Amino acid sequence: MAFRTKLFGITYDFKDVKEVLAKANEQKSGDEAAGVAAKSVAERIAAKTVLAEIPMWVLRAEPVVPYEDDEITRAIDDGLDLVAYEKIKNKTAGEMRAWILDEKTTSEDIAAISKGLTGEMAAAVAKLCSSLDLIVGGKKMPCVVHNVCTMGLPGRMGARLQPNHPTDDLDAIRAEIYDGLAFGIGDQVIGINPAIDQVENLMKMYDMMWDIKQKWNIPASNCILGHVTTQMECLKKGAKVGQVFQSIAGTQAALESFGVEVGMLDEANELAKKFCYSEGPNYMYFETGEGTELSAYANNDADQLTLEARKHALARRYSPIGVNSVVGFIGPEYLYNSDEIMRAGIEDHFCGKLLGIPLGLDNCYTNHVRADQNTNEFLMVLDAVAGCNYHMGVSMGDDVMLSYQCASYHDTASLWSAMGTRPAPEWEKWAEELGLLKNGKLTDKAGDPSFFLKR
Amino acid sequence: MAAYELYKGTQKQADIEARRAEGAKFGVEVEDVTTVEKRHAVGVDHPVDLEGCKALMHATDQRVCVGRNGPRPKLNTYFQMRADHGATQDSLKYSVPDEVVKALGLLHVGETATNGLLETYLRLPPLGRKLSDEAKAVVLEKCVKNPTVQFVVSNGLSGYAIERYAGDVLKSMTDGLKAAGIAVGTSIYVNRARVGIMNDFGTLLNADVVVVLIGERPGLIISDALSIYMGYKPRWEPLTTDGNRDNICMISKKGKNPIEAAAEAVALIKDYLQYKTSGVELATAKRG
Repeated sequence: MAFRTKLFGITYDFKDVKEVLAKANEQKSGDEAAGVAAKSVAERIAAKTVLAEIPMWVLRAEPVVPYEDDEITRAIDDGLDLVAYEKIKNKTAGEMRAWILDEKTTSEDIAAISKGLTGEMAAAVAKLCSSLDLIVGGKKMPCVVHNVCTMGLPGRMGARLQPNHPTDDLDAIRAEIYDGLAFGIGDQVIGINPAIDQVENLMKMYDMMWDIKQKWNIPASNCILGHVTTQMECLKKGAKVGQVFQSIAGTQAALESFGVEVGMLDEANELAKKFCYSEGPNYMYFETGEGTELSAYANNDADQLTLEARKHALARRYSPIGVNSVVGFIGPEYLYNSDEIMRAGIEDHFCGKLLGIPLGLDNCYTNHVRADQNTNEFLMVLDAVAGCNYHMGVSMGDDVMLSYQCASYHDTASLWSAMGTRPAPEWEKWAEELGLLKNGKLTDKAGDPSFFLKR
Repeated sequence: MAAYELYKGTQKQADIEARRAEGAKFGVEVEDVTTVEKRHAVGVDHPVDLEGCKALMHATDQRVCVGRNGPRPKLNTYFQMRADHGATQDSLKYSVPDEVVKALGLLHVGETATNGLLETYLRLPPLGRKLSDEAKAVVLEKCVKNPTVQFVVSNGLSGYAIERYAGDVLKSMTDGLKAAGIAVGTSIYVNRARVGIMNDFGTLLNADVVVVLIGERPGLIISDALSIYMGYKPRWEPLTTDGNRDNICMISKKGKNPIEAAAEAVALIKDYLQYKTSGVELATAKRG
C-alpha cells in the first residue's frame, strides 16, 4: 500500500507502482515533459531504493496500463510462461539484478526465466542498473534467431543494410545496396524505408532486391518497411519477401495511432510463415523507440523506458528475427542529448534481451539534438560490448531520406576489426567466397561497389 | 625551489636554427573540401570500374564510393561530414538579425512562450505554439484584425532558411495574392515558433487563412530548408491540428524552388477561400 522511504532524513512518498517506476528512471527529457519524472536527483534515488524492494508479482499485478483497458497488456500477460514466472515471482527487482549479475547465473538460467517476465519487470531491473550493469547483464543474454542467416551467435555482429532514397529511385537504391554489400554489410536484412507506401511501388523494389540476390547468390533476406498492411498485400500478390516489418508501441492507444492492432500483427505473422521465401522460423521485424506513446498523447502517465520494454514484450509474441530501437531519432523533446541517447540505447538492449528477443540498435541522432557522430560511435562500442545483435548501415551513416545520421558500413567493419567479431556464418562464407572478407577483415577488393557491376 | 637543473638538450644551436628556418619556408593552401567536385570525386582506390563508380555516385545523393583507410573513412569524407554537421548546428542556433527582419518587411513581435531559449524550445514543443504575453499584446495592438491572409515567419529550427528564402517566397506570395484581390494582414516575425503558432494567430486576429514560413530541421545535405505550412481558420477552439494543414517543404537551393513553392501556395489559398476548408478536408472536397 505505502511506497515510502527517507533519504538524508527527508521522507519521499509515492502513490503507486507506476509512479515509483517513472521516478526511478534515469533522466529523460520526455519523462520531464510528460510530468512523470523525479523532481530531483534525491527523489530519483529514493524511488530506486523503493523499486528495488518491489517483487515481480506486484509488477505483474499492477501493469502501467490495466489488463481490462489495453490489448497489449492482455497479449503480454496471456503469453507469459507461467512455469518460468513461478521461478521468479517472489524475487524483488533488486534481487533480480543481483541474480542476473552473479557469475553463477548462466545464460541458460536467464533464458529459462525470460518468458516469465513482463515489460514492467524488465524495465524495473534496468532502472536499478548502472551503465556497466546493463552491459555485463546484456552480454549474458545472447539471442540466436534464424531467417536466412543465423543471427545473434556469440562472436558475431550483424548489420541491416538500409538503402533509403527520398523518391524510391531504383537506380539510387541499387547503388546504395552495392555500396553496402561491398563492405560485407547486410546479413541481418536489406531493409528499405519506402518514401511511397504503395503496393505497386513496393512490388518493384522487392523485384529489384530479389534480382540482386539471385545474380550474386547472396544469403540475403529483404524487407520493405512500409505499413504492415501494405506488405501483407504484397505477400498475397506473390512478392519475394524475406521479413515483415512494423513499428510498434507500448500502449493500445499509441499502437492504434499507427493504424495497427494485435490481431493485425497476428495475421501478418501467419502470412509471413506461409508466404515468405526465407526459411524462418523467425520472420517478423519490429522497430521501437522511447517516446512514441507521449508523442501520440497515449503514455497513460507511464515513463518511456517501461513503455519501451512493453514493446519488447509484445514483440516476443511473434518470435521476431530482429527488433531495434531507433534510439536517437525521435528528437530532443524525448531524449535530449548524447548522455540520454546512450543510456537509452543500452537500456533498450538490456530490456529486450532480458525478455528474450533479438535486440539490435539503430544508433542515431537528428541535427536538433545535442549529439554528434561521436555519440553514434561511442554507443556502437557500448552495445557491441553488450552483445547487440545488429546495427544499421547507411553510406557514411548519412541518411538523405530520413535526414538523420546512423551507423555507416565503415563503422560495422570497424567494430569487427576492433572487437574480433564477424558477420553471421552463412554471410561470412558468402563474402569470403566472393573475396570481400578474409578472416573477418576487409580485403583489398572490399569497399568498391563497382565490383557488383560485373554481373 | 627546483631540486634539479632544467634538462639542457644535446643539440647545437645552429642546427636548431637551420631547421627552424626551413620550417618557416613551409606553407600550405588547402582546397575547399566541401565543393561539388570534391564530393563527387571517387574515393575508392583502384576500383574495378572507375566509370561505374562515377555512375553509381551520380545515381544517388548518399555518400557512396567514398573509399576507406582500413575499415575507417578517408579524411576528406570525415571532414565533409563534420563540416556539414557544423552547418546544421549554425543554422539551428542562428537568430535572424533585426535588420534582416525589417528588410523582409516584417513586424517583429518578439518571443513565443519559450522566451527565446533554444533549450526550452527544443525540450517543450507546446511552448513554441503559444505567443508570450508581451508578443500577444504587440500583435493585438499593431496587427490588422480580420485579415483574409495572415503571414507568420519564424526561424524555427533553421535561421538560414529565413535569411535565404523567406524573402522570395513572401514577395511572390503577396504579389500573387494582391493580383487576385486577396487582402493580406500585417506580416509578422516571431522568434522560435512551432507550426502550431498558426492557431494562436488565427484565434487572436480572427484570420481566415494563416501561412507560416518556418525553418526545417536541418539535414546534412540540406541544412537551410524552408517550409510553408498553412491552414483555413486555424483555431484553438474548436482545435485544428495537422489534418487541417497543408505543407510545402524542402524549399532550398538543392530542393524546391521558392518561386514555384509560392505559386503553389497561392493556388492553395484560392482553393481554401473557395471551398472554405483546408488539409485533408480540402483534398476530399476537391475529389468531389
